[in-house]
Amino acid sequence: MRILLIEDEAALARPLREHLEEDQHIVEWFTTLDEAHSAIRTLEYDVVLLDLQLPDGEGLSFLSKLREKHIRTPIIILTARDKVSDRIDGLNRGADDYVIKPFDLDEVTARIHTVCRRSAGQLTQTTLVRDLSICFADHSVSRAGIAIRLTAKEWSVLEVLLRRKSKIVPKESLEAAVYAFGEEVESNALEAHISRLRGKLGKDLIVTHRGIGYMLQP
Amino acid sequence: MIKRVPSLLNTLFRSLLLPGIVAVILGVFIVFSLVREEYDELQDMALASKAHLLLQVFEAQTKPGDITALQGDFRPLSFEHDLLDADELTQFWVLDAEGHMLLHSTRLDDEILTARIAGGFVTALGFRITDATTQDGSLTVVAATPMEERNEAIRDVVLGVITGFVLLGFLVAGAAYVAVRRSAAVIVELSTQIESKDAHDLSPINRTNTFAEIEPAIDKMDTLMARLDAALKAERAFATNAAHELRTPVAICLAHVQRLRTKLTDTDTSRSAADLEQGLKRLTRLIERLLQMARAQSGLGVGASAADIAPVIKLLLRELRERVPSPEMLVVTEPQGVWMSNVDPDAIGIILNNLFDNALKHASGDAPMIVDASTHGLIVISNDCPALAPDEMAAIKQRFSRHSKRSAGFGLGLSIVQELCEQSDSTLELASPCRGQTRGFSARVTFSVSEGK
Repeated sequence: MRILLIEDEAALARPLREHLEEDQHIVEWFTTLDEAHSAIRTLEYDVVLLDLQLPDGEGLSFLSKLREKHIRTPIIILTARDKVSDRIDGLNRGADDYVIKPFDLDEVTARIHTVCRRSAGQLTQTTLVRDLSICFADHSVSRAGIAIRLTAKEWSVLEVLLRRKSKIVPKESLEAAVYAFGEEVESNALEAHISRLRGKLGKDLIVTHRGIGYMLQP
Repeated sequence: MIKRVPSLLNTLFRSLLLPGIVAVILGVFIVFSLVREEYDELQDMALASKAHLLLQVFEAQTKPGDITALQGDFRPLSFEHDLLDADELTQFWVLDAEGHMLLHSTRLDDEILTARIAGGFVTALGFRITDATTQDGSLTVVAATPMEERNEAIRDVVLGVITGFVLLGFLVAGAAYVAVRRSAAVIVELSTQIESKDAHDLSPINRTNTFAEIEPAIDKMDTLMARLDAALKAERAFATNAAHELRTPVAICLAHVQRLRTKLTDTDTSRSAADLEQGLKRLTRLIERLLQMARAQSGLGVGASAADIAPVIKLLLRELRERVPSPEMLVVTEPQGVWMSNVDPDAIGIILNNLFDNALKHASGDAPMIVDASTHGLIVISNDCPALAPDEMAAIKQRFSRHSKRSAGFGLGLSIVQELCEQSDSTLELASPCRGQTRGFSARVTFSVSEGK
């Protein structure tokens, strides 16, 4: 998953990013709303982790602006504000979840998965596609009880396709989801990941739409 | 014994009434004394004048021998007959040097002659008596006037004075009553205004109807309320700012310790990191409770503006569902309809989350925790556990009192809940065992709610 982390406390953002990256997510971290706004206009993110008190403004107004522009990316507020009225305000403005500091890093990970599953219309942690059992919690895939090992990039590609099941996902969106901002991307890297996924999960699971993108065919 | 505070109106009225009555009585007495003395003096002079006038008439115009000629028709001051009743007429006697009666008026009562004092005034037998004698002592005129006439005149004067004083008294008392009522109304209005002030209304007192004498007190009151308002705002701001200032450093430490734990391979060091993580989590809970306590003490529960609190309760119930290990461990009945209430949403959050924490912490695990909000305004939170002894029940609402010594809590939760409930006119009832059962613990919170639209 591609995660946009907006947090001005570097000492908190670093271990959080490290933890999320270890969980095979791509994390792009910004300390100001201005930078975050530029990033979200440029790239598509699966989830935004938003602090409320930032040097250049209020996270809540940033949240309202995104929703006014019909940007539906799931947003989780990470804040020290623990009042119920703040929580209600945040949720009313369009946040998907609200995590109060100090938080458990695993709890943040779990909330990210829950919010993304809810956003994609998947309510359970494990989903079945054909004869495959895919678990979002531990990023595992199995067939008839036998685990299939996927690399972090392969999982990221599969997760993006699963979230838009039966829909064509543009190649650029897949590349943006799999590679971090500014990371060097080789011209055929995505095709290589798709090819390896087909080899592991089934040749006709991912369908190519030439010149447009790819689609997961359940 | 509580001393009953006297009413200002009664005190002022009593203070004015008693001296007023005494003043009237004293006034009547003084007027009576003066009038009586002056009137007696005038009447005595008139009586003496009559006697002397008659004497001079007899002495100048009539030979002693001729006096008897007047015997049959002696009517001096006959004009009195037109003005006075017969029993009010002045009576006269003319005596010679030996005291023999030469002449007398009608309605004669000779006993009066025996009571007279020569050359002076005396009151006897219902008459005021005096006499006048010629220089040679040959003739004496005795004059007597009935006292009844004088007393009647004095009675009329006194009655008039009393009537005047009483009327004046009523008039003054009425005016005083109205003035006192008006003055007291200002004090009562001021008192009502001060009484209506609370943590949510510390605005200056309305001065449309005050007196110069109480203006300094109102000035002082406004100054004190402004200072109290600033102090309460600062206290609330502290709780809000402290939440950020305290939670963020702990969040940083906790995140780093959790990252550190994933990297450590040495068992002892890992255990130390785990202990450190637990300590930080405990510190987090303590910070949370202390911030709640600060908010409660700054009057968080005191009336907010009326709003539907059902969505707040639903949000808290949704968060509770995410906290229970498995869905079957929680049975929830959500509130229905509109619950209009003045209870602050943050106070509701603190109250319910503390009770949820309590139930989750002490639940035995053999039966689900139950949250029932099906009755309008009432939320019942119950969990299974061995029944608590009466002394334990009495102690758990005390600050820093824990249900169990091994409990991970700080013993602050229920005292915070109790304080916020008292501030918000809500009631908290704790029971163990649960009603109709032999086990369990239940907390019933009744919020002050109305139906609303």
